[in-house]
Amino acid sequence: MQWITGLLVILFTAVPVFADMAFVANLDGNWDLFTVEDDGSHLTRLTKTPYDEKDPAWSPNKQLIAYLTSDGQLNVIHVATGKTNRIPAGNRNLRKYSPAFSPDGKAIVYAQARSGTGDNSDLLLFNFESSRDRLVIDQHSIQMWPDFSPDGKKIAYANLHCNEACGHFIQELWETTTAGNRARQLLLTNAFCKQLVYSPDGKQIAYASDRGGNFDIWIFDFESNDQPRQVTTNKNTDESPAWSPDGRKIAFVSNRSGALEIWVKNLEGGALKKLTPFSGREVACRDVAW
Amino acid sequence: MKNRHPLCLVAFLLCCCLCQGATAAETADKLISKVTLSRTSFNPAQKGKIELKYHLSRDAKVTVNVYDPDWGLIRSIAKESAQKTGENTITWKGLDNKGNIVPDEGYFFTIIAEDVSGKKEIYDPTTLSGGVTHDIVDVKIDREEHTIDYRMPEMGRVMIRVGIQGGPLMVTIVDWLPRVKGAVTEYWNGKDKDGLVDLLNIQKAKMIVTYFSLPENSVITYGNRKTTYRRYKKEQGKAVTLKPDRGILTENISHHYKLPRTIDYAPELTLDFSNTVEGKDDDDVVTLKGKTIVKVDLNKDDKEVFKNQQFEIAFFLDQKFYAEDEVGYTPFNWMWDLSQVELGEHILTVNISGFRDQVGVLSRKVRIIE
Repeated sequence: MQWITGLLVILFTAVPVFADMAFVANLDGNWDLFTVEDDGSHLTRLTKTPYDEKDPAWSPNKQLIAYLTSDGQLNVIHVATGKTNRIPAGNRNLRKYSPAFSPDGKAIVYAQARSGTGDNSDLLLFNFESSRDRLVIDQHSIQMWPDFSPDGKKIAYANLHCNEACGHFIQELWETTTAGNRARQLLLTNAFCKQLVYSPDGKQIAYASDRGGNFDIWIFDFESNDQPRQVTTNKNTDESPAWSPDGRKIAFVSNRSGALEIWVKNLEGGALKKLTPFSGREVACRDVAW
Repeated sequence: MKNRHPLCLVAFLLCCCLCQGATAAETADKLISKVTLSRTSFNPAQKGKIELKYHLSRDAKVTVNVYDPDWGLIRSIAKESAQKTGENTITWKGLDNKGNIVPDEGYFFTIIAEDVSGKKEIYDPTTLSGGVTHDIVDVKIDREEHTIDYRMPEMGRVMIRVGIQGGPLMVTIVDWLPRVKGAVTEYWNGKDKDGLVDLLNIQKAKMIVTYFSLPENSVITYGNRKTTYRRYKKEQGKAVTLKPDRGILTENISHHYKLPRTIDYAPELTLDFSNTVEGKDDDDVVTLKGKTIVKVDLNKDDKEVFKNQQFEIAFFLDQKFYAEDEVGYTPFNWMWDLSQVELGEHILTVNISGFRDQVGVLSRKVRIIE
């Protein structure tokens, strides 16, 4: 329990932010965790393991990153010291996915496969203070990619509606209260939606969807309630969106250049910029968090 | 007829006249009809050829195009060629526009005819046929001859897989290949893709034979040993004219029908282990102990094809589910803790399943020691 106490101290201590973005990259045969500033400078390698890290999620004060390892377990790393710990969340025999910190930093929401073949999963909330898990919502099929609203009252996530039986996989955006007593479907796209993130003001959700035939970045606006806006239109794969802290830009991963790289789009002017954290060297990157 | 009301008879006769008149009018209007092919398959490399026959109700300028299964224009046999009323015949020798023999595949024709008044008519078989999915259940497996026999009710594109119920896919025997109507024999040695498991002796092994229909008047070419369809298309690159999409009117269309043949196939995988124990027994078995990193990847050529796809990665030990990642990516480096695995020989099988139903399979024999 001692490490949790330490973790809580870190979570609630105000210390200057050292890095902007977290992501994973394949530098030497497997996926490791890195941070970089939002202009692509000051690259820092956080892990050097023989297995894969994935799905990094920043803590609210940006001192910790929760992430998964390829054995499907949740971990946390203290960015400044590099110290890592396994988060004792969920069932250690079941694979976990897509963690996200709560806005107050006291909990992590994540998806966990149900026992068996993994064609079903649940959303669980792990509380650092009590070290206990709670089921967020009891829903059929796969729930994935949860994210907290900035006010901490809601969790948006993706729910798998249909797989091969429909001819293609259909996964739609849903939203539930943190208490999990009510849920509603946000969109009907007849497509596969994933990797959703609330905007910093909570009024929009960015996500990746293959609605247009390939994965692109889309934005759903709660206030306008219009059809979602397509942010990227490249015929290659664009995925893993992440909002800038001011909500004016979106970072995402794209293979439009031939390699998986991080790009940043200015939502106001539309300007698009590729980050080159590895100084022009072609290194595949994915799972960006900002 | 004696007891029938006379008005009924008049109505009957009037109806017959109207129907015949309507049919005659339709036929008179229709510029292209009675489209047939002399054969459903041929070998261009052996100087084979086929004849496309059709009837023109009026003199017309005619363009006949040959398309590949991805709707790429392969050959323009006739270009606004002046043709007479009546039966016309076009010969295709299985060559593309550059005079090269086309790769083994299924091809179809479109006919565009324009009469002297400028009225244009298009025969495009994809608007009326093709893509309808069916399962074939009457399949005979001959263990001695190593054959699979079945009957195709029509020309179609066939997929045959064998997997374990509740477990992995073990082999794709026929990966969406075109077949003619009638009796078909495939060859299969009864084993999985890597030759490690005798599937015919596993009770839970199940075979699926399914197909979707090809557009009417399709023809299958065979005998090209110099290139494959995927290689041919790669060399074509983007310099290919696509047939216009005139809509598909048939229902119950397989989603595989709309996928390009260049991406709708089972990818090849690679599988490596770290921390192997050297010098133990033969090359076919990897000896492991303690912990190992299992590295799964797509082979170089398939990596490029599947770069835009998402997939699941699943591991099976002795055909039973072991571990899975719903959100797959490659390379995938999985830490396998062998302390929970019974000592001795096992078969590790990996399935990489695309969301569009392309499934790569690889199995390896491993020996776990203390």
